[in-house]
Amino acid sequence: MPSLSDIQFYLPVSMDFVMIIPQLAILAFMLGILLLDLLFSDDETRSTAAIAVLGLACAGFYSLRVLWGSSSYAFNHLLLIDNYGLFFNALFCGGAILAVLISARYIEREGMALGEYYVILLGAVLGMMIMASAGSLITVFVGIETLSISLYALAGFNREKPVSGEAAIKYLLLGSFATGFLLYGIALIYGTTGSFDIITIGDHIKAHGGPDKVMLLGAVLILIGFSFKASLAPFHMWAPDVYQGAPTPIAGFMSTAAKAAAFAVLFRVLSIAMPGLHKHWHALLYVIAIITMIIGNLSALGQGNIKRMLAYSSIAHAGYLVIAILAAGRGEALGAQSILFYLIAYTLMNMGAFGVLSALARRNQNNETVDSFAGIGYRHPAYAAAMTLFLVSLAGVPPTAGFFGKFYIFLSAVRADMIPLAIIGVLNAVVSVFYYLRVVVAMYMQEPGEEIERDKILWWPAALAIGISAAGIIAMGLLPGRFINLAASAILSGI
Amino acid sequence: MIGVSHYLALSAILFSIGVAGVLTRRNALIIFMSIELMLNAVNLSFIAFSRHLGDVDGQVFVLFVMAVAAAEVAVGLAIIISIYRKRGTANIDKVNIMKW
Amino acid sequence: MDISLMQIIFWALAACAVVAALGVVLSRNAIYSALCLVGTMFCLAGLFVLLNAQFLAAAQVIVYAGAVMVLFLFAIMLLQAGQAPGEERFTVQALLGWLFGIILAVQIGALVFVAFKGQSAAHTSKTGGPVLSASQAIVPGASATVTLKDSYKNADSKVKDTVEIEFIAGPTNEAETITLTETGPDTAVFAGTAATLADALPGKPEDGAFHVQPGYKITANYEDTRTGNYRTAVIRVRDHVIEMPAAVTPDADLNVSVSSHAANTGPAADTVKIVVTNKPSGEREAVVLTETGPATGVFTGALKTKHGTVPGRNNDGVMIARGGDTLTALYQPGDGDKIEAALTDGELGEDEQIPEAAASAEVAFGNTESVALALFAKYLYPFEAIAVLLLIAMIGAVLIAKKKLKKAND
Repeated sequence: MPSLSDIQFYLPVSMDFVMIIPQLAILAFMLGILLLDLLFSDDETRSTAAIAVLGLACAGFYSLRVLWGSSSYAFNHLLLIDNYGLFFNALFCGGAILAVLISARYIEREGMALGEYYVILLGAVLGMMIMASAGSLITVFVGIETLSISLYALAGFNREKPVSGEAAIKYLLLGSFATGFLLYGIALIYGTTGSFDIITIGDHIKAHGGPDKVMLLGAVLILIGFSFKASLAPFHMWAPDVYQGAPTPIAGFMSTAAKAAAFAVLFRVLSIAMPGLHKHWHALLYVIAIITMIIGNLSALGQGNIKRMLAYSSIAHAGYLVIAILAAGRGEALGAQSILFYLIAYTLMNMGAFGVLSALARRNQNNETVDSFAGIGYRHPAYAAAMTLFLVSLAGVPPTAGFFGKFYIFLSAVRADMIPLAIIGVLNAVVSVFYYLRVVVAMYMQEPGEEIERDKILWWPAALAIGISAAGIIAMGLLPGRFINLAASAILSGI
Repeated sequence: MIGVSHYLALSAILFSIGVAGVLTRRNALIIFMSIELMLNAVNLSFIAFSRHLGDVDGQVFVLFVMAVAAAEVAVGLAIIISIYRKRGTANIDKVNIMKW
Repeated sequence: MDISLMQIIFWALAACAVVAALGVVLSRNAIYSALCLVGTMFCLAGLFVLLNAQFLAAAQVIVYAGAVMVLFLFAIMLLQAGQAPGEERFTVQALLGWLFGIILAVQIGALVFVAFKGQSAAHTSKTGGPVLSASQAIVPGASATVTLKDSYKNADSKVKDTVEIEFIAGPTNEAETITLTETGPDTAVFAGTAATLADALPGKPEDGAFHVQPGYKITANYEDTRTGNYRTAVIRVRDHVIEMPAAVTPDADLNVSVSSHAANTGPAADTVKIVVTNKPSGEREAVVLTETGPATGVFTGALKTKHGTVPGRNNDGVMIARGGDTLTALYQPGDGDKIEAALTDGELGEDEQIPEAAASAEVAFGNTESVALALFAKYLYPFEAIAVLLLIAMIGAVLIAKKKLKKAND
């Protein structure tokens, strides 16, 4: 029983706050934008965007350059500060910077230019950072909910557009439904192990030789909750509708950074709290990986809307990532590294693709379909070239980042003695080439139909974001070793 | 004797009623209330375990769940109201410009 | 086993909660659903009280049944969505949904019910991290026993391991390290003693014994290395200490001892008188305790107990008791020192022994103070994070529900 004299042992010390400076920076910039927005005139959201980029850059820089290498606890073991979490901090900041750059023009055009947009976006990044560093199921829950509530609001931000509200309500109802399962799982794990601390839970499960049924049920419910958040089949139903209806930059942000956060916390919980249940979750995730890849790729084949096609493709990519988790669970070091490598590559190529989509969109125009992209190659050669690069990389054609991402994952699967899974993965990757190339074919080889009005203003930040993504993909394709080393150093000190 | 198992079984029953409500109803408000019911059932489990383990952490978690549920309700009802303004319905089946 | 009031309350609240929950998901009208949900929440608040979570029961009523449900009712009224027209009831989807719900309820309900069957709702100190316990009170000069259960410190299962714990005596801040030795090679239970000297002078640190006077407090903070949680043990130094076992079976003797230097009035073996009360039945027995030797200051004695359900006569030398009764021994040298113990009936397997110090711990558990201490110290970080979450939710809700957006800049 805690007593008043115990309190001093729990109270935070200054070191605790040093360890969360990236989070504090995000929080400070978030509140700063909220207040500064009152001073700016109504239409002035470009300065807010600049401030948001500055804050994200500071937080990312501090994680990668200053705190990098630390391996400690903060706030009574509620947070684990290690390279793994810091790596993800930087990844989230990078993804969010791309999203802000793409958004700046998009939200003006769609008539939703409000400073609060960036406030909520920074809130989502804060939630992701809490998730990636979580050392206790309490912080896991708080982080997931901070992220989810921000994304519910962002998905429905464009309330003039009926699809946006529809996306938001579907996301909210299914998301909180999944939260119910996650919480019930946490409750059962707490009841059987007596703790929320993931290290203690892991020790307890190991010490008791094996799980009892209630513990197993709790683990399964937690996995179901995470599967919803990471859009793994059969819990993926929300993703296509939500990505299609949400504002395009937000859809890109959700499919990359938010998915990375879900995988960050999933992998940490599995490898710290549940190695004692490895046999059970391995079997479960094995099935999930196969059906996720197959459902994602086959559904993407028939889509006429590019946003919806990218949504299904993002489900398929989640399936590849599960293969890497399975390989890592079997002790294959490359498996863990390839998760991080793939997430960087995927963030760059998907944010780039959504960037091109939002740069070429126009208010109240139906210009997200594959058909509407016919002939773009001649009218917007630069955008079309970038889009081709992103799609080729998503398909996994060498020498792009996407190729090496898939290569490392399948290699780790083979090394971990999961050859059937690797074969299914390669076959799926081959199928995916068809729907990615369909867009490329439309852009270069089809005659444009009726002229579709597109945004005439070239907005340099969006172009910059697309350029950064393209350069990153090429760099990762040419120098994959450097990035896999970065991933290795992030895994070594952490899990 | 009323033991911890009675509370846990009650919690499981309430949770399942909530799940059935989410799966069967089409009114967004009622689906939302069913989700609240699920969260309440989980809270009962947390408190029963907390008492069983003699550990106050479970009760702290319940406080967080309550705060998060309130936040979700605020955002969710705002979204439902904005949809209702546009469509004049809170029925999920009618909110289907995209495929459900 | 006869039905207690607690059982009646539990079953009544549980039945109401289930009926109201069914009302939530079955009502045609959203307003009835909302009112049923309020009913479920009130029932759950009642169950929280039964589980000693009074603060959360209050929060449940105020936050959930109050604020959240009012929000719901406002939304329903505002949208006039009470009667949702055209919702078909008996569809295939509804049937499958209910089938799934019933399977879920039976499966999970049976699983958790069987897994925890027969286990008391109250803390049984079987699970969880380390448990540190020590004599609650001693007289100056006596030795306190300290025990620690911690499977993590059982480093070698073949030898008796040792653990060192630092104790600090207040207000002099005298520190002594006490070595606890494992009771067997693989028991993970460690025991040791803390010696004291009745001495007015502050002692030196690490001289083997605490120099204490009545009113002093000897405390230890033991860190659970896995979670960073601290377990605290407090030994109070008093003028008089009365001790009896935490539990006895009826028909056995109840051994009571009193330590008091003040009662050691003469060189011969003195006596003190205590009163033992059976709380539920009201029977009282006076017991005379005799000093164990000249000038030891320790008095012992025994009271015969007998199993029975009809209360016996007062002061007949035999205490009639049954399982679950609580016996209180009271020694009144003038300052009203007392200690409680519970009796157990060997025939009733379920009413197992109540662990030592459970009576005093249960009162503190779950009250506002203990929740607040955890919330504002150990869980300060998520508490602040939740504040940010609520801010985001507020901004999001206001923006989305606002009426008009600005003109597009196309």
